[in-house]
Amino acid sequence: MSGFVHQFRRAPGRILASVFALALAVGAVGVLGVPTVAGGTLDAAVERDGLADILVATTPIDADQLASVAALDGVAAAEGQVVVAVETTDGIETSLIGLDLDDQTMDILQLTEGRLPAEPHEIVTSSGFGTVGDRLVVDDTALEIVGHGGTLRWADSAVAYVDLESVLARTGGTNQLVITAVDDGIDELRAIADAARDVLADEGAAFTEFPVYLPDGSTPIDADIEQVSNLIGLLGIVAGLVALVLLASTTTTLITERTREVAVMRALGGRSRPLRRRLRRIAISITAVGLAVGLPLGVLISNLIARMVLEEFVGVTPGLAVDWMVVALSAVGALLGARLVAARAAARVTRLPLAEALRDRDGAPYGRSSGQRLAARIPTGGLFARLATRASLRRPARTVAVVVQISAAVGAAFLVPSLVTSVNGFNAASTAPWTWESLTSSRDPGLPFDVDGLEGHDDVEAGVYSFGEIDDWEVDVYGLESDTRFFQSELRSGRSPSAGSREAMLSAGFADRRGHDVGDAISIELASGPATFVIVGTAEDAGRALYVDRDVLAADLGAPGGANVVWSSDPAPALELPVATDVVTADELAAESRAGRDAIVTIFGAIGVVVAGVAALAVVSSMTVSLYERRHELATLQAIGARRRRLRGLLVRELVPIGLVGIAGGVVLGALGTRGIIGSFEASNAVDIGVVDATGALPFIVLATLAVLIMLAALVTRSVGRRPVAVTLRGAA
Amino acid sequence: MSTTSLLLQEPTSGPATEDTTAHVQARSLTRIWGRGAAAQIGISDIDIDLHRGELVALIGPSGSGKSTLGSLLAGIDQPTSGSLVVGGDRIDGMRPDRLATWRGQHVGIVFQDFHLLPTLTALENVELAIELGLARVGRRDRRARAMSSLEQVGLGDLSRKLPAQMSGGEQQRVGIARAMVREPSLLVADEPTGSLDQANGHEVFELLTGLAHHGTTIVFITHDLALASDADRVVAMIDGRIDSITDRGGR
Repeated sequence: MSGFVHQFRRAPGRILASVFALALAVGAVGVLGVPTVAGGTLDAAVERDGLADILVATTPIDADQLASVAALDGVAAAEGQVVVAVETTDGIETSLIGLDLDDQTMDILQLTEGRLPAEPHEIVTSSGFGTVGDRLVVDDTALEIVGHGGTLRWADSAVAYVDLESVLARTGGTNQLVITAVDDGIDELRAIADAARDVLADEGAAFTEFPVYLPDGSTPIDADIEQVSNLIGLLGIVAGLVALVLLASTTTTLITERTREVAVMRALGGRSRPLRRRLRRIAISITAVGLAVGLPLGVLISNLIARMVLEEFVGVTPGLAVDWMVVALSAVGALLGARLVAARAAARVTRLPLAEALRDRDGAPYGRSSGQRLAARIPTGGLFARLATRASLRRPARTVAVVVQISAAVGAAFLVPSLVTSVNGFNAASTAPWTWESLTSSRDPGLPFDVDGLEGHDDVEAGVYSFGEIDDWEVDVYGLESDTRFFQSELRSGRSPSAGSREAMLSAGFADRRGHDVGDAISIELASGPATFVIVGTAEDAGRALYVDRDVLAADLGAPGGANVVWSSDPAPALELPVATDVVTADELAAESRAGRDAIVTIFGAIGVVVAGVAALAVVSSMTVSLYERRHELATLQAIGARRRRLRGLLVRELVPIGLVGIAGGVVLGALGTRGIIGSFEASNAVDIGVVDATGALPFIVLATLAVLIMLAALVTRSVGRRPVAVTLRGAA
Repeated sequence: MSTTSLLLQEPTSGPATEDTTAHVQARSLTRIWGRGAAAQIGISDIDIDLHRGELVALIGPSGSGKSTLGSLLAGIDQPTSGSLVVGGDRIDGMRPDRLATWRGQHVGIVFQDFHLLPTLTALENVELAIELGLARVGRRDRRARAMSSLEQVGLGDLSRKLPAQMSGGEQQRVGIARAMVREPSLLVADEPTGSLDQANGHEVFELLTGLAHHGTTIVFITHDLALASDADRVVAMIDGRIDSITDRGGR
């Protein structure tokens, strides 16, 4: 540590800049801890809440039917819950979640405030939904909020929890079946669900939705978290790369600038080995101080981002957590990296011929390599152009480091808007085939709409929207009229399904990835059980969906003539429907889509800003050190008559080509990164997303990068111009 | 020149007699670094006139203020107080950019530590001085003049060498070529022979003497009393003040 103090006294500004940049770089590596921090929170929530392994909506079932399911092989416990969509007299749409509060083993309600309901008219609401003591009036019944809390399953919704008995009358039985399995492997869970479906069918009940499986302690948003984690990991790797480059260039600089000092010690009899050890200690002590600041910063960054991710995707606010593995690896990596780079730089410094090292002022004599000598023999451009070119060649490793840093900054700055434009493009492509102005959907499970009852309306069309599984991939299943007016996708191949047939149209991207072609028979697992269709066409819909005849699908789902959605060309159709519904307009959907995109942009923008900021700081730090070392050269130029404008011009000539190469590298890096991220999304979702490069952002990125470099040149020139030339030159001597 | 003909004078005190023919006129020239108790006096209350074509040697022990005075005369440092007029231009308090232009047009500087630009060859280092000081000289002419200047210091063969490929003496001669290539009216050389052997030192001195014959005022800072004795005047400094001025009386 005394080494650090000594160096700090010697050049406090530069050491502080190095430590700060290093600390921020180490801190940025902390984003790699986000998945663990987020995962830890989710695991804790799963453990605490006793999240079920199978969740499925059913027709109302009674205690005997539930007991039959609980008696199945492999079932540890089965519980019934009630979910009822309601609207308060204030116009608030919510759901009443009926739980057996006295005897829960799954989805255990966790209170954050107040107490559990003790009376039929008492409820617990999600945090932020009303205040304790308030009353919600539903169907003329006043429900008093006695507490706030929730379960992981409903964490991202504003719902009201009531005692099961108080809502059973509304449905005539529980309509949500939750099961905990003895063995929660996916195959075991599927087998249990199939068995439960059969048992219920024997007793006159059915699944009304496709079951949600949560194998191996997973949660419903694990896939989202995994994708987000992949993205964060990629950006974390970029941050790590920048950190390494910065560490290497800072360490090398700190050692190389002592060339002359070391030469004097050697001349006075100092042995190389202790000198090298001393130099290594200097680098390691500065890295250690950088770590002392950077590691807590990394923990802070990872927790902030994990909080943003979890609050956005899960509605859970995590506590402070630390990924000790990332912390330990960052520390070991930084110290090891500093040790290795310092060893190399120290060896070079102590091996320079003594006479040359004693003459050298800044640790970088020009003309030692054949490339430098060759460049000196090629008198291209004016003298200032030659000075600029050769200055870059003088320290090639540093020039490469700066180029890499600029590339990383530009890459991050290009990647984030490219992700945004790609997500925008995907959203647009997802909704493009749909031409409705409003979508009315049942808030209760099953197919409660009667298609025949809607026949009289010209501007509406009833349909079925459900889920299924093809090749273990969850897919959206749409039941449409064969001559539907509200879905007009471009076809990649084939045609649309015919009326009343068991023909289907499949999303083109999914079909390609799964190897399904027109003419193939495709098996799909629906809520009601397996069904088979023949593929007659593939649609360019950017989704993972199967489009079939509405009536055929309704029959397959056990509700012939039923529907659960109504598409309309009227934003506010006048419909008389038997159950509570949600109406969403195309504009609202677009706004929702934008809001979702904005949330993602905020999260990745934050990470991108951290990475780009670290890289930019690294560039400024490296360039400042580099230009500071050349103050004698600049003072010499001033002494022989160069005005500050010429000095600025020289630095700009030097920095702009480096900047342009860095920008080019960054754009390639950003474009490849975007493709990598989007590609991983496409692979993990088996859909076509497509990359839309944010070329519109490029002029801003280029201008901003060049502006920073030019500003840097101006600042250095200004600071050089402030000091009398003689004073700077005397410092050189 | 001979040391036997030196004429000792009393040290100057107070303002020098006004000499309207002087090329350089310094009055009460003072340079102090820092303030209060930490103040460090470089030179104090110096009055001196230098004439066109005069070769003046500044001598004195280390820390006596020779280099500080040389820096002020060359316009690479600014006095804390006092006035300094060179060639009719008052340069004390001149703005940095104007001063840089002035240096480029009127001053040549030879540094003790050479201060060559390490990435430029010997020829390019000399050319750069022309480009900065004499903007209207064409590229070809610039190159020819730079080459001629290098040949004058005996380095015509090494024109394409980089400073790192040259000895200290060779680098110093490049520095001299760079200083004299613009034919400045004032040349300040800070221990230019310090890195050279006796023969080369004499050669350099002869070069400077030749320049002085052509009307350049030379300020020659040295520890070499033998060389100093060949100057037109020898200014001895001690503790930031002029201790004595020895006038050979030749000019």
